[in-house]
Amino acid sequence: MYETPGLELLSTIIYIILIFASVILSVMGSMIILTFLTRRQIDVKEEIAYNQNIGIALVLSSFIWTIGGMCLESVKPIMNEWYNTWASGITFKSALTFAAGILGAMLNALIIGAITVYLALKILMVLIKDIDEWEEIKQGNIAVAIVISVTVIVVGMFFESIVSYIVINIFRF
Amino acid sequence: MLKAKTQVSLFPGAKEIILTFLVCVFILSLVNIKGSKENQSRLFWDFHGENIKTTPPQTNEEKQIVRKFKWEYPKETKRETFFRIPEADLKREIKKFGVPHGQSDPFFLEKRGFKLLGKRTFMEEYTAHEQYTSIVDYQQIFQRNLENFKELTRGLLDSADLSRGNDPLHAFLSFVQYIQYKTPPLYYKGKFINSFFVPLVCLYEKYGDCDSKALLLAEFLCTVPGSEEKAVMVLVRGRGLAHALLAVKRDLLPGMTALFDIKKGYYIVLETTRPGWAPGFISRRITDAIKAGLFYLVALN
Repeated sequence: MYETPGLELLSTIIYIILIFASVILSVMGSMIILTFLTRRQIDVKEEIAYNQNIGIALVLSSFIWTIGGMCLESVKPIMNEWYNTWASGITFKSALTFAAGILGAMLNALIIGAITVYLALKILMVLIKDIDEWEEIKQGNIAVAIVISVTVIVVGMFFESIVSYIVINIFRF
Repeated sequence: MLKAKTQVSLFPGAKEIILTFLVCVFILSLVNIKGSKENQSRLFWDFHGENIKTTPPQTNEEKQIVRKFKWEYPKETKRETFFRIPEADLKREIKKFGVPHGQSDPFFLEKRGFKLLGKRTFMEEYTAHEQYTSIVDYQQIFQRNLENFKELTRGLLDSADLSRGNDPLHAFLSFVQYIQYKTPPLYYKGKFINSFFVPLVCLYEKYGDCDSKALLLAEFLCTVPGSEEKAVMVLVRGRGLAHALLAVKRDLLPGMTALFDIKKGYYIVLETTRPGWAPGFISRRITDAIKAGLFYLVALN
């Protein structure tokens, strides 16, 4: 494996691409999930850019943190598979399988991230029945935003550990 | 004048002492044998089980035990490797490692492949007891086995289709990963081995646990002709984990996990327990334990 020329360069390129993909996926995914969860009642871009709503910014940041962490957890197993694929010799079929694996792994991270965020919010909403959280956040209640953000991050921390195991099994499949 | 014939003994009471000693030895041997039924079977050295093929006697009258391994490298390329283990070397290795049941003499432990880490003195029912903490002396076993593995490594190189100049790391790692993962017994052939198989026994038994397989991989890597491999054992302890990895000196590629020594450079970690882990990749739990500093390094060479 080590004596092959170009491996280090190619691996670095793949690694950088994966990191960038994780960042893009987590930011875009978070915005879509937030819009979906608020039932399109809140325009995220408008609230952050024009109304300078710190509450929305906090919640969105926690979503990005959680989904981003999950995407980054998938990078290591993908690189593991990359070195195994390289050792087998790159063919059209193996490259295609690897690309499909990357897509699957990233989608998996996004789906688990979305489930985590949804689960965290559901738990919180069941516990605090009397408050309409989204309405409070829209009105600029930072306290509610902080509680939601922390809940999402903590639940995400627990779920992060399982992502890499799922990705390993995706490639084995 | 009466002449009395008397016998003068140099050691008065010597007869009684010898007799008492013999009786003690007899009683002790009885206790040892009757202590456990398993011990009785362990007293015999049996190298002729059902699955063992022994080759016809060689020119130098040396018997060899054949072991067949099935593995894959690279992915989906099936391979078979046959090892001819000299029976004399195997017997010697089994003899040199492990201590009899109940033996805790520090000098004896060190002589039989264990390394003393410390001593604890404690009182129990008004009696002082000493307890020694020891681990397997990986370095001693590794150095001793280098000669035994030269021929076996050549066989593995041939079966992996590796030509001279190719790095055998990934192929050898894959071979060791395909060896069955199973914890060796605490006692083997009547001796305490602390659930560790020396590399030759690991090949002979066709299974091993993390440290047995890691040391086996180290033997293979360091006996490649012209190899200047530097290897260390990484013993991970803590957070409910008790695991062993091998680490070898290599350049760090993106995504890999490595240990850095300011004088020696990067050592990438190798997971030997199951197939699928490329060099430098380990599970998240073990990475976390290593990051927390819950490991102990044993330099092999």
